[in-house]
Amino acid sequence: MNPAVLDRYEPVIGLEVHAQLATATKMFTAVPYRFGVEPNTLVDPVVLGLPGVLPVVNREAVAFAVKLALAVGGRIRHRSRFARKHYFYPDLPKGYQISQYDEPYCEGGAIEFETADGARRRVTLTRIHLEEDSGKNMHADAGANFSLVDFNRAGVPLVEIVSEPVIGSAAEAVGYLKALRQILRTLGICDGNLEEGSMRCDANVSIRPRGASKLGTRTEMKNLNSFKAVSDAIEYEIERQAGVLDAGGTVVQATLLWDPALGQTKVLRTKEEAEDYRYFPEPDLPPLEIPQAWIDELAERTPELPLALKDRLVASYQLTPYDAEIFMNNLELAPYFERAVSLAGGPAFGKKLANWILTELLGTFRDTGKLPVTAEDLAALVVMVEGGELTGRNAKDVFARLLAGERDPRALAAAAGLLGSVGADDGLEAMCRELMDANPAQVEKYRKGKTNVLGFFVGEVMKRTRGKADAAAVTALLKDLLS
Amino acid sequence: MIERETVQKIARLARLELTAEEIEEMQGQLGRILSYVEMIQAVDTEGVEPTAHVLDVTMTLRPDVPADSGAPPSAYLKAAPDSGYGFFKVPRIVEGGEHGSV
Repeated sequence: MNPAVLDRYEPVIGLEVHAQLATATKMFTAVPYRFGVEPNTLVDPVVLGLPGVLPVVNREAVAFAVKLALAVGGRIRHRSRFARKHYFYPDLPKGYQISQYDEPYCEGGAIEFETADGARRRVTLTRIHLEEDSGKNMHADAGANFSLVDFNRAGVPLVEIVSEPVIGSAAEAVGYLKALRQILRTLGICDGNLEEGSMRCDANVSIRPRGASKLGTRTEMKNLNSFKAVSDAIEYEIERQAGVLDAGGTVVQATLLWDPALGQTKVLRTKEEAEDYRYFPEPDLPPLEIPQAWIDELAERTPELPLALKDRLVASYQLTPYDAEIFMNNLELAPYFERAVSLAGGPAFGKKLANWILTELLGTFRDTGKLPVTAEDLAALVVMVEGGELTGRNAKDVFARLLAGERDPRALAAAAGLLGSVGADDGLEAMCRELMDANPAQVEKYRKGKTNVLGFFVGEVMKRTRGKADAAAVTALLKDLLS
Repeated sequence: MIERETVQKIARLARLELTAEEIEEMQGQLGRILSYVEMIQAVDTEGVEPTAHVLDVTMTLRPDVPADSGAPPSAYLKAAPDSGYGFFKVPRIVEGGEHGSV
C-alpha cells in the first residue's frame, strides 16, 4: 500500500466478528453441530423453522457468552432481550434471525493486544450480543436454475463482537483479531477457525483527512475469511477511498464483498438498497435473566487470559518477554512449565526449566501436540543439574533417554554411572598432570603457541570422567597447568 | 388512510405482491390499525417500564445435551417442495456469495 496515502488520510476501522460457540447443541434446540458433515443431517423442526415450534435457549451458550464478557471486562445486563431481525434469504428458514438488538447481554469492554513493535493497544468494544447462525447456500453451476441450501449450520449459537471504530490500520485490525481469537480459544468457547467459518469478520472502513474530526463515509466489507483477507481488503479499501477523495469524489456508503482471488471488492448493495430489518422483541422468548450469582460462579471458572499470563511469567519467573510469548502462544505448555517449577522447588528454577522446555521440548510439542517428558522428570533433571550432581552434558544424554520414553532421571543417571561431578578436589588436577606426562609432545606444541591442542586435553579429561567434570573448570585448570 | 407508497414499501419488505385494489384495501386496514395504536399512545406511560413480554416470566434455559430430533433428516427433505443431492433446492439465488449472518 502506498504510504503517502496514510500521510494524508487517517483510516478509521471498526470490526464486527461472529464467533460460533462450541456448545454441544444449537442455540434454540438440542440438535448437535459439527463442521463438514453430510448436508441437512443436523436439523430438526426448530432449525428448519417449521410451523408451531418454539425456541428454548441453550444454557451453555449463555454461559460461554458471559465468560467472554467477563474476559473483556464488559458490562453484563442482568436482564436482556432477544429480538427478531427480518430479512429474506434461503439460508434463513424462518424469515427472521433471532438476535439481540436494543438490549444486548453485554456492552463495553475492551480487547488488549501487542503490536509488532511490542507496544500495547486497547480496542474498546461497543457491544457483544447472542444470536443464531444461518444455513449455507451453495450455488450450482452457472446454467442451473436452482441453488442448494444446507441447514446444518443454521441455529448454531453465535456471539457478535462489535468494536468501536477506533482501529487505525490493517495491521492493528489483524492484531485485534488475533488477540480476540486467542481469548476465545483460551476460554474454550470457540475454536476460532476462520477458514471453516467458526470465526468470521466484517470490517467497516472510512478515512478522513489527517487532523479532521468529522468521520468519513464508511463502507462495510464482508467475506473476510482469513487474516490475510482482512489485511488485504482493508488496505485495498483505504486506497480506493483515498483515490475517490483525491479525484474530488465522495465515498458512497455501501456493503462490499471482498474477492480474495481478484484482490478487490465488489458492491453487494448501496445505502439506498440497505435492508430494513424491522426488529421487534422476540415474542417466543421471555427476557433472559443472568443473575449475579451465576456470573460470579462463571468468573471463578474463567482462565487467565494470554496477555496476563505473559506478564505474570515475566514477573514471577524472570522469563524474557520473548520466551513468555512462546508460552502465551502455546497455552498447554504454561501449566506444564508451572507444575515443573513447583515440583523443582520454586521460581528460582523457572528460567532453567523454561530453557529446557523451549529448546528441547517445544519442537516435539509443536509437531505432535504431546509432551513426552513428565513435569516430574524434567524438574528432577534440572534440580540435579543445578545441584551439581549432573553436568549439563550428561543431563542431555539423560534427557534423550527421557524423550525416548524412559522414566526417572536420577535412576537413569545412577545406572549409567553419570551421577555426581568430578571437581578439582576429586583428583582432577592429578588427572591433568598425568595426561600431560603421558603426552609430552602435545604439551610442547601448546607451549610453542599451538593452543588448539587444549581441546585434545579437555576431551581426554571428559572421557576419563565420563563427562562428569565441568568442561569450563577443566579448561581453566589445564590452561593454568600448561602455561 | 396511510399513503400508497408506505403500503408498497411494507409489501416489498414482506415480499408480498399486491394488486392496485389490494393496495387500496390495505391503506384502509393499516390506517385503522394505526389509529388504534394512536389511541394507545395517548395513554400516559410516564414511569412505567416497557413490557418485554406479556407474561411475567423469565426464560427457562435448556441443558446443553443433544437429543433425538424426532424424525430422520431425510424426512424433512422429502417434505420440501424440492430437494436433491441431500440439499433443499430453491430458485437460483442471483446475488453472489453467501449471506451468512449480518
